[in-house]
Amino acid sequence: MIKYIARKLVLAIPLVIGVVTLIFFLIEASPGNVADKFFNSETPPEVREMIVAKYGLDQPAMVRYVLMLKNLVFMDFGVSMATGKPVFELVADALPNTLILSAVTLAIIYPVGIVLGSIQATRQNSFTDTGISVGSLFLYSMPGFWLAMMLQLNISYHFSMWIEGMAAAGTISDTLGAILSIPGSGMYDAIQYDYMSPSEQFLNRCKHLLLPGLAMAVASAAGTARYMRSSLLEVIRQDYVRTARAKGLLERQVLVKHGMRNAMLPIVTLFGLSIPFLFSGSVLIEMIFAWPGMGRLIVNAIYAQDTPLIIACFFVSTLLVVAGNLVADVTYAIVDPRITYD
Amino acid sequence: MFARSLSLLSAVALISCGGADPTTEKPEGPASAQETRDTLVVGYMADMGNLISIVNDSASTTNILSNLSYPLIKSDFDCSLKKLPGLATDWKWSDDGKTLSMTLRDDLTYQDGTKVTADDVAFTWELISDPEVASPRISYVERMTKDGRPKVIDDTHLEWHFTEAYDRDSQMSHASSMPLLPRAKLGTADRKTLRGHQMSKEPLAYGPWKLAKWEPNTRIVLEPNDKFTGPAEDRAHLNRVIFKILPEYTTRLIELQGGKIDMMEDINVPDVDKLRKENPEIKLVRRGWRNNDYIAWNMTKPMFADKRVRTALAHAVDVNGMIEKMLTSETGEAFARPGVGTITPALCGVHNDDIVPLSHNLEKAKELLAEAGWVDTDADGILDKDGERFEFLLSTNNGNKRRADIQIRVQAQLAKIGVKVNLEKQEMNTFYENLRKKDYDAGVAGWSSSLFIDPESIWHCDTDTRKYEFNFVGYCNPEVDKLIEKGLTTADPKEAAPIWKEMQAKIYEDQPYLFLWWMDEIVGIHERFESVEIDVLSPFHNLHAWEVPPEKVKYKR
Repeated sequence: MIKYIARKLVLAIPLVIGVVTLIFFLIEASPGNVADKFFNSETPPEVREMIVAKYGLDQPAMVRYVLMLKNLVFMDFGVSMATGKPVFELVADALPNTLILSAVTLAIIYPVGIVLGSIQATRQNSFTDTGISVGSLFLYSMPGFWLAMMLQLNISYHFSMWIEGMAAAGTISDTLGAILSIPGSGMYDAIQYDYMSPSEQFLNRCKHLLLPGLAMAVASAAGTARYMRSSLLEVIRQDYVRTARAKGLLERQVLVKHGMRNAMLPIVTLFGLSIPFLFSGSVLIEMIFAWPGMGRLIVNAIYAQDTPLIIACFFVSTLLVVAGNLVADVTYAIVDPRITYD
Repeated sequence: MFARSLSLLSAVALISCGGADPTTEKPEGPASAQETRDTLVVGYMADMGNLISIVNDSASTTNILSNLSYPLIKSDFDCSLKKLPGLATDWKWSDDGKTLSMTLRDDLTYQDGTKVTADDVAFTWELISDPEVASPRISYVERMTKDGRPKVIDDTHLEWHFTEAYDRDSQMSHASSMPLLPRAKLGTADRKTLRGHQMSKEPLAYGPWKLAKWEPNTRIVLEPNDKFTGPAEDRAHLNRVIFKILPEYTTRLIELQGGKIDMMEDINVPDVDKLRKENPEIKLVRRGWRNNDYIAWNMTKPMFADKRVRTALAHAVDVNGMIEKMLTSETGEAFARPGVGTITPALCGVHNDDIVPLSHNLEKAKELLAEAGWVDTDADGILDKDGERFEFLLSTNNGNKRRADIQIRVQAQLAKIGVKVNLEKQEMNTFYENLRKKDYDAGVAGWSSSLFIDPESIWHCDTDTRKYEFNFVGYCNPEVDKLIEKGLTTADPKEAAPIWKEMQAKIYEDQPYLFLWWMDEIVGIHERFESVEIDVLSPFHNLHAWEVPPEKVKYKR
């Protein structure tokens, strides 16, 4: 296993180089350059030349490419061309926010998907099964940004206004009103956060994770439920499951101890495949919920053609994807003892 | 069990880390005074960029930086920029119009207690003119002499020396609004890497507000600058101003309606009626005509070289009809007016109100095109001339729904006179680069107008020594050039006004653009705020004076 992991890490190097090379030359091929942001029609030619020299745009592409690789090896991400801030700082600000949201999203997708899929498999063709199937399909087909906007509009606005109205009228207590009022943007309350105690701040941040986490997780949870259902249906028809029942085990023990563990293998594969999308950040969800994560950072960097920032973002994303896939492979081996790596 | 505890601990650590520390210091002042002052929460589209003023080029930063500083000359607006004493208490132009002498207050200090002096003004402009800094403002010093930008006489007296007697409004505007940088803090900084200096995140305030917090891409918090030593009437009245970064328009609107934010800029016209009906507590304010839309005809292409053709196309497009359909609310309130040039109608003394926009007249359009040789010889419904069909590509930038609507409507309207329009949307940088390179047929674009007059960069002919990159259409009228040069060198704005009016009339006659309209920006603000000045100068004009009567305060801390 150790050898396998080491080999995977070594193979990640050409992968990362390949990704940053592709990104670098895509940026080169795109029209316009960021130095234009500093020009206007009155900028004298000698000042233009000086600005071009400052950003190294007068160097041949290959020279800059080699310089970029060298800097990446020493983790020197340089300075953002658009803002002048160190790229490391910009990524360090955004990455934890994306990781938090991804963690919450994962915590919703897999437990919910697995439980729903299992319920469906054990009640195959019942009303419950059909109902969950239809619901899953509906949620899976829904565009993510539309779901996000509907959640924001209906829960953080209509529902929360209704709750606040009830609290103002005295129908419910102010405390209950505050708890039930779900925020629709940001990572924490922009106005009162500074005056909250640490525990209140923690709860406030959890509340702010609800809607963006749901928006990101719902469709994937629906998809996971479908996979879990068909995988478990296949497993519970196997001989060893019949043997387990024949031994007199409780149905719950049969399902959980014998059935689910084998049915989980496709889910682990799904987990590995979903990592890139979660760690690169969902730009639409981040824009709608004003979540300052990697998705927004990458897209704004692309609009500004901010080469150092774009390269750094994709470099970090690639590393996380490799790490995520490695975790998936190791989990695979843990879940299925028949699988060994060498 | 241990693994679960570890993961929970990590989650707590992750969630709790970053962002604000718990319970920061409370603002100074008696508790009761603080409690009655309220907080303004603004839904802001984009985060700030670099807080070193001379390298900043974003409006979202300027709006905030201007409140941390105290301008040399304060601006007010009533048909033109009015100048009021600020850091400069007094100023005088020399008779030849080339020297501006200023006297400064001697009591203004930065947050750290050091005095603001004339040397800081000189230092700021020294940085602007230094090519190593690569400031986007470097062109401002073009008309200043090398040792007069400005010349320091003593701590409270300085002189600006200009190379020629230029339009005074534009000269002073550049100089007066630039937030100053202290030599004491930045004098020894490496100029090549100035953008990365600590002051790009932590400026030294010397105005009514200070930057209390800046959480990147989350929020910006301003608090009254307790070290402000300027006039008492310029002290900040509110407890805090919080700029909440909400990039998505719909999110900002929902938060405004839900009372989570108090103020929002750039409200779309269709939402005006909704807000009036559902949220009467939100006051809607027009910000006046800073932004326009137009269609640029590439006059370097033979198709658009003939003035009659351009005039015909203008007759064929129903500008008033489009304003009615696109920029008028359901209750009939129009939030745009037809445009006749690139000088904003807000400059009412200079804008040529006598220019009558071309009428919507299809017959006249067909007549002019026929005169120019465009006739449908092959009866295919599309005009042609010398074997070439009247067909062109109308491009615009992605992500602007209004311009996309303009494209579709213009396509349909020009089809009625036998002109075939194909549509294309381009990525924004690409689109503007194509305009600059004149690699397009026609384009839907817009300008954000300044409040002083400088039409040179858009309308002047290219010369051997100078290319005017913003002259996208390749316009060249020597008479107009003369008028521009004369207007810019006429120091007295009253004398310059008729020159500018004549220039506008000549340009309009030439129809280099299909001038569409000037739009009102609509800003929504909660009615509890008083002394609010949302105007053509700034959406946060005189923010220090905004206040809430004690009985209406919403955020008591």
